[in-house]
Amino acid sequence: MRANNKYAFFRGCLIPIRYPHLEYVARLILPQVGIQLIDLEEFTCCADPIQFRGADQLTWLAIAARNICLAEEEGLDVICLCNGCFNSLAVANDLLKKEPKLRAKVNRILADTGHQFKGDIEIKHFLKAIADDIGIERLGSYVKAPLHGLNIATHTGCHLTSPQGILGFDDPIDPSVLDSLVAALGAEPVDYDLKSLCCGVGFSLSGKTGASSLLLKDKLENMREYEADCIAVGCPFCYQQFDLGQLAASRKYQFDFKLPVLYYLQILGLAMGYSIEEMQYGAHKIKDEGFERRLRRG
Amino acid sequence: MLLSIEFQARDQLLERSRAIERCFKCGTCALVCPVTRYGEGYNPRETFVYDVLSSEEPATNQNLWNCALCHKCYEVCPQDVNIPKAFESLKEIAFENGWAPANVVALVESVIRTGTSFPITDACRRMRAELNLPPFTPKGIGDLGEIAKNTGLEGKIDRLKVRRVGEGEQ
Repeated sequence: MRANNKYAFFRGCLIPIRYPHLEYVARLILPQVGIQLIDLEEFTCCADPIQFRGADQLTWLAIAARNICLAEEEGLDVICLCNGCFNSLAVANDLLKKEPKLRAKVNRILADTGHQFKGDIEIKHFLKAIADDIGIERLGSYVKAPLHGLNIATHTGCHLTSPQGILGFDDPIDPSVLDSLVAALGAEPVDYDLKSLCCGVGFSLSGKTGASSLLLKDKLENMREYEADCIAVGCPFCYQQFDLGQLAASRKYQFDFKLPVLYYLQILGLAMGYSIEEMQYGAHKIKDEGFERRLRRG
Repeated sequence: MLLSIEFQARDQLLERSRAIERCFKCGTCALVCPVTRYGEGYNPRETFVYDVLSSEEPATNQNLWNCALCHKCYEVCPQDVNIPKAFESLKEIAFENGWAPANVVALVESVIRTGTSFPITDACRRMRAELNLPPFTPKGIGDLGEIAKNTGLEGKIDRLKVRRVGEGEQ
């Protein structure tokens, strides 16, 4: 953490392009809990830790390094809105800090761009920034409308926690930090069985929609079994699966329920007293009257 | 190493991830692997990891690209085999040889040419305007071109295109 909790704001691609309402919520909510966002215009795609990283590891590393350099040059740590961006930048940052030969190689590649990796900043996911900078205890002081009686199934996602040895955020097999973060807002985290199961976005990205729907069916039914009213996520890819993906899975398997997914900052906003409309629920594909009623009652 | 890796690029893969020699096929990875659980045609004996690593030419196995590198297998492996690292290496070998799916090649090209993974659509511009958000116009694309030239990625993509055109003519 640096002075005034100021961060270089890394929005990634998916949020600003497909889910700008989540960017809107992030810009509205984070500064109010003391996290300042500084826009750096030169940021590009992270690049992603799944396909791009696999296809060309050296280019992946150099692109991530260039993004990190931009923040280093401003003397800022980076805050990410997406598990994928966080994973790419944090893993690259760790690799380049620990391996001098690799750092020299990447700096030779970057020479023509005028940037050089130094290794003097940290990369944070916004959930980590909230947990570290504000702290779960102190988060309660921002709550004006506690979410009592709201059952939330949390989905932390894979790329925020693994590899645990590098990211050090939470236990990838039995995650609990996001549960504590929703509990701090007065809500009830539900302890369902398939909590650490992936959202299935890998299937969607490779066109395997059948496998994606089957996975979502199991996961969503399990959340419902434990009486969840909604889902909490901290990643736009997971959000996409539980919103758009749920729509596809529901058509295929004829679900008798709808389980809205909320980005954690929307839930935080609700607890701070914003209305569900102000938190841009209108942009969601999956809406549920039961969930809306429960919120209004609270 | 009990995985029956019999393929041309075997030495190449072992050089990049020596740890796969330690696998004794205990199947712990299959317990946490979402692809084994939900991908078609897998069961506890025929898992995703074995499917890929036991094929004659793992890098040509298109199922390889279903792996989202979630790293759950890595977290639980009692033999400390870094399976995601092996899969990453296979993806790289596949990409170099033109075996990667067209959407992956398109994604890589999109990043180095436009600075984003997804196209900026009219819907995006409209939604941003409605929310009073400034237009999303990534800068720094020139730097990505320099990087791709220096790492050799630009050349790889050109070679893939030449090969695809050649294949198209046959």
